[in-house]
Amino acid sequence: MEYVLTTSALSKKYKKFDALRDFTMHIPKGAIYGFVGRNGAGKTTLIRVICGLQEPTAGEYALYGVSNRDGKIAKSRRRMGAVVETPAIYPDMTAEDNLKQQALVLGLPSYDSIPEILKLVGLENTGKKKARHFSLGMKQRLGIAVALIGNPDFIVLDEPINGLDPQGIVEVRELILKLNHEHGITVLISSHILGELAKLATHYGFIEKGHIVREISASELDEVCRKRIRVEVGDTKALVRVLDRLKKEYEILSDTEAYIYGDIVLSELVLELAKENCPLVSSHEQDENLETYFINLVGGGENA
Amino acid sequence: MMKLLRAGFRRVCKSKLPWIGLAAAFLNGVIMALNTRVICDYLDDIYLLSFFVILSVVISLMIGAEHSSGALRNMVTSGHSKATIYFSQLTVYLAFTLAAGLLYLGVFAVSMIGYDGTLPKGVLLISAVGFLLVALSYTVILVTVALLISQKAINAVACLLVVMATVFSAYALIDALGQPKMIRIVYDETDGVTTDFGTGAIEIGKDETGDGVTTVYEPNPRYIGGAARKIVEGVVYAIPYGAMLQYMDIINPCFASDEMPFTLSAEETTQLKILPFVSLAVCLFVGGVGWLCFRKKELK
Repeated sequence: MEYVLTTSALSKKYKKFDALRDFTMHIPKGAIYGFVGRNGAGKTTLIRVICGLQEPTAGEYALYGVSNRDGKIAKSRRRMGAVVETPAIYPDMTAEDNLKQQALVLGLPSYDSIPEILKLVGLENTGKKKARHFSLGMKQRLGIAVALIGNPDFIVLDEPINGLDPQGIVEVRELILKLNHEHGITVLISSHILGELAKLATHYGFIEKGHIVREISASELDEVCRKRIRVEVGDTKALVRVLDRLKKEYEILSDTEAYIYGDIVLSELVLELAKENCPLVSSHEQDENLETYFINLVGGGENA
Repeated sequence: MMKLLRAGFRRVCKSKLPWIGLAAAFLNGVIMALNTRVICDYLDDIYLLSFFVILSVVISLMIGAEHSSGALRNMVTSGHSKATIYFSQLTVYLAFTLAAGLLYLGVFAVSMIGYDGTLPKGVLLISAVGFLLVALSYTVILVTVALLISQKAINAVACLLVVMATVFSAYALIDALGQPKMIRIVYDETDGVTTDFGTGAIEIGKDETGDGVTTVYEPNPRYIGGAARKIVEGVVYAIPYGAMLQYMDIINPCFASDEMPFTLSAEETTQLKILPFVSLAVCLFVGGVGWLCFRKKELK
């Protein structure tokens, strides 16, 4: 699999505080990588490091296979765009002027792509309106437009939907999906608004206290979060016979415990187990989503 | 770097503040010319200080805006090195300073049309070039300070404080260098007793009431001499405002009277020769140190 970004034991220390510790992640090409973590977990620190705004204390990262220790990393960075914390826009300039300014910074030969990008982010009708008069959603979209002007194939969005109203959130979400599906742009999006990430991401990286706790694809997460019942019985061999008869999907955990997937009528199960002389000791329904998965992963589930 | 220069010049041209700064520099030049040639016959350094304050305001607020808008952050993310960013910002604001300085001096030059005093035009020209170099050295210092401080408000205050610090330190050191080599101590002679005062010249006379007076000249303990004097003089030349005051000391006497013969002492001749190079050296030194510091700075 081709990776756009990989990090290897990346660390960033501020005096005595470890913002990142032994951080290892892999972002596949073409993915929308949801970077999930609590406030202060290290999401923005990682983004700053990979954007070159800060130097790591230890470890390394590679962008398109080029290590950060290689002098050619600057060239790799030109293939990426980023919106780090707040959109990098001049408030006293119009949307078009901001894009022209960025085009000059990138050394683009012409401004021809600007109208198309403004249309893509839905800002084609802003005219002479200065960016300081934009709504928060418009500023975010302008920030994304600035990140897109260099035709990158990888963009980094640091909490792009923070502070947006519902319409703004929908607009940004649809834009990200369009960039990924229609333009093949790989996206790294950090957020702690899990409900939105769940609608976007194809891959997830969970960060806690500066360390990546788990990386998982969306399909694997769906698999893990499937509705299931955890049952404790007298003998799982008897349970297996019953579940095979009922044509139910299951997973044996031990001699006495198992997961049963999908819907099952408990009374029917109890009656069938009774025929096998097998008692049903206990049953617990589990219906995980991204939120509960994350909470269980980083702890705090006991407080739920 | 050409990309960042084009972007930087576009940014400066599109913003209102630099144009306001140029207008302020022009107005300042007009007032200085009027004051010097018409009202006071004296080149007052307050107008030159005003010029440097204008530079401080424009540079600190423009670069502060680059920080707060995320533009500097964007340049790094776009693949530009810290060195390219630093030197492109420096170049843009050096160009701005040159434009403002030429505008400022241009007004003064117009006021000098018809001047038939004894001040040689060559000396005036060297002083004008010297002023521009002083302004450029201020620019290097201010751009460095502004790039190293991310917060816009603190940036503006710090740059202003840097300008004021150069003014106060220049004046303090020039005052220190101005201390006389010998000081005079006067003693009244009483009851006919004559006291031997040891070293130093002694003058014995009478005051207006007829009392005996002994005047002794002794070495001034505050006088800076020898190698220390050379060092302090060097520091004065290196401080931009100090260098500017040296130029003013040379040319000012001739504005007071157009007929006053212009004489250049050996020291002043030396000053006119070395001051421009000291200003250039300050630009290079501060620029180098500034780049090294900016390279290490983590942008937020």
